[in-house]
Amino acid sequence: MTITVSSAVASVTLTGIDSDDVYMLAVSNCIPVTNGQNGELRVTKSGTAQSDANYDFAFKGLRTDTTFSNLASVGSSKWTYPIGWSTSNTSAEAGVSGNAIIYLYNFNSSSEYSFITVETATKYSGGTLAPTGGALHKVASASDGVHFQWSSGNIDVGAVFTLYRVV
Amino acid sequence: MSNLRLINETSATSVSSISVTDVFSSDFDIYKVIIKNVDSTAENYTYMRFINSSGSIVTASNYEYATQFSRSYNTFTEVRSTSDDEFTRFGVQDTGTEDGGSTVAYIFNPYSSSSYSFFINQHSGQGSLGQVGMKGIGVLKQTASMSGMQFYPASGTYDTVAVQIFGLRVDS
Repeated sequence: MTITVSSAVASVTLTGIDSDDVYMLAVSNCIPVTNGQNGELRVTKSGTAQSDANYDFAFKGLRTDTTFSNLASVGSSKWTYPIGWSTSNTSAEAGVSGNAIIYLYNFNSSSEYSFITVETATKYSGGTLAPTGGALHKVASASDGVHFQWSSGNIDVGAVFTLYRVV
Repeated sequence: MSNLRLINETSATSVSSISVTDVFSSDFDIYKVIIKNVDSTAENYTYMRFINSSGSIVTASNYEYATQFSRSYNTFTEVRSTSDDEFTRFGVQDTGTEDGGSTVAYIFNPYSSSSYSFFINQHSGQGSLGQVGMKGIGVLKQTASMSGMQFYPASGTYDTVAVQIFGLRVDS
């Protein structure tokens, strides 16, 4: 399933996870309309984004400008940083974007948590940032997709989101 | 048909560098790159430069990167730059036939003339002191269209090297 943003939108939802296979979300050219935003990713259940306080994540923040950061949280209402971390908009710097490869595990299981691994490369005013690591949604019920938005403002034109089933 | 489309497969022996040209196009936004069968005459890193759509190797100081080094024999280290003329940590190899390791990388938006070219890479290799893992990211800060990549050892030559380029298909 591919969603290409043809006009600025508040969020993107990709569903269709209906097997026990591993899935991969590939994101390219994802840019916030508002400068300096973090990506926010959530699971969907029956197509609806879940905002409960059951998201844990642990990412190593690779960065070109200074010592790498640790980005971690327990009991958040979303996964912060996949796809974007203080990502600049194109008014601030032409050519910037958020890009990511995210693997989804156990989403279809009714007895397992939903897990992801994240690799991101994104540009901000001070350099290039790359949240990399793992996360989970601690609810043992099936998830059927993911929902993405920026921490504030819309997703700009040109972003491409594709959900693959790995077989 | 698989959504991972093999575009190019190139191998070489006894070379100072290996280039894959005319592999990026408007057909794909994301590419997967695999470097394997690496054997070299000197222990050192594999470097990378993009090749632009005019066929020129990009040597401007517009490469920005950060790499986490995970070493089996020593503390972990970080390597970074915000203005280099090449990407310096695509892999590591020693001189033995058995210790070249492999690299998998994803390249984002290389063909776009309005976007920078981003990449993420992951490598496992062997140096003279032990096993090295690398996790890196980088960007070529040019809003210009790229058509390919060049890989080369920091010193010495490749006895053998192979590169595969795949495109990730999206639904239109």
